[in-house]
Amino acid sequence: MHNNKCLKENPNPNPNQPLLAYHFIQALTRINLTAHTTTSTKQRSHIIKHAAYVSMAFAAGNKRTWTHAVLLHNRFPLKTRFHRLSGSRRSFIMSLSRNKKTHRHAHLLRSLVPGGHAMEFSSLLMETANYIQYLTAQVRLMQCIVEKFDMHV
Amino acid sequence: MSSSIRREVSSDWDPLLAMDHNMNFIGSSGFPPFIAGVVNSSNDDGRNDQVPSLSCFGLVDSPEFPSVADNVKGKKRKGFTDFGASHSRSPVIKTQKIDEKKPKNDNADAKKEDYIHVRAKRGQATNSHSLAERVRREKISERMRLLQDLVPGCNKLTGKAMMLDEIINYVQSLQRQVEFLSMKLAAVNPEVNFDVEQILSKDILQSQDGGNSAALGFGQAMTIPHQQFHGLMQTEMGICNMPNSGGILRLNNSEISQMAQIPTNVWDQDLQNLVPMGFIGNPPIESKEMNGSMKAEL
Repeated sequence: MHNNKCLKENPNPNPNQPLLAYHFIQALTRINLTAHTTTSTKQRSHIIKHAAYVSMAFAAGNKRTWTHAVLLHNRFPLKTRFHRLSGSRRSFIMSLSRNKKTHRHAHLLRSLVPGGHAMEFSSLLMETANYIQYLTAQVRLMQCIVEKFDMHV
Repeated sequence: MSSSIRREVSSDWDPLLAMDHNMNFIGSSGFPPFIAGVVNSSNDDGRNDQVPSLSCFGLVDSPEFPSVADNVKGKKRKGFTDFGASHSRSPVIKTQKIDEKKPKNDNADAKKEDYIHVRAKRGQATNSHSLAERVRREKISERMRLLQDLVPGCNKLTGKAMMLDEIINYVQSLQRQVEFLSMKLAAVNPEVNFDVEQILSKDILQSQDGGNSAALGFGQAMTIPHQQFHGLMQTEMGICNMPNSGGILRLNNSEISQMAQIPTNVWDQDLQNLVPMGFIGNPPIESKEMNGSMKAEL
């Protein structure tokens, strides 16, 4: 099994922080321009949160499952997504093992990570790792921005 | 990759490199649930060019059987029974400990093939199912170790359940943090005018430089990204029309090349079309959807 690790030298390279910042700040500036006075704070926060996830997905690149899921969710925010990998076998198995504790965890994790339902457990773990990296980067970025705003205002 | 007729069951005499490599995980494109590792057979001769495929380890009852079982060598007492119909040849049943039969597919092929050779250790079951299970379990535990490094405070915890708990908590807390910070940004944003924000972007990136090891020298001009992201930047330039566009976002060459590596066709269109739509068009709709996690039901 060690060869798996050797092969992908680094399955999770560190996220590209300037890219993240670039996308997010672009989004913020666009929000600032367009949805200026008409939207309430709550709406703006939703929009900004959405922008955060989308810019995260952009920075992460094309190779990850969760980025596809985020962008699809962006594109079709409602029911018109056939994203869950359906298959009677998979749902059957999942329903069987839902009682076990580990699979409750797995189910929870799948609901947390975007696109998590369509993966098997080992790839779900990989996706979670990548997702966590990008989430931490995004949080750091947003904290920096908020800090700057606090300083200036 | 799709034709998945199972290889012959007998074990190889080959230099069974303990594990063979190149598990090509099918990443983001389509999620074939039944293929945990993809095998690319590069057999040239017509004899054995069926591509074995690893069945999904999570599916216990799958009719496909793992090719992992093919290459188990070692202290086997019995051979594998025939599981399915799609055999290319008859199963080899061995009664001795050491296999005598050399498979017709030769060593060269085995080297080229990209599936996992698993060696059954002494005292362990050599059933192909249990082998596959073991492979899967090891893969999962390896991934959990990776995750352990990512999530702070997981070093002491051992065991899948506790670590999964911790991981789930961490992801949830991160998502809540994003939500909280976005609320903060939303409150602050209307007061700050455009220029200040642009200036801040420079500061932000420089401050993050201390935090990260990324080298953030940003070079001059908005014109540079304009070349790279044609469609995207045109909309941006149209909107932004900066009086002081000069020193605001300065991109280094390395940064530019990095950013240019984004497959521009797909992603630019997305960013152009979707992001403004998402922001402006649907805020009231999304206010219901975006509670907690966005990924609710996919």
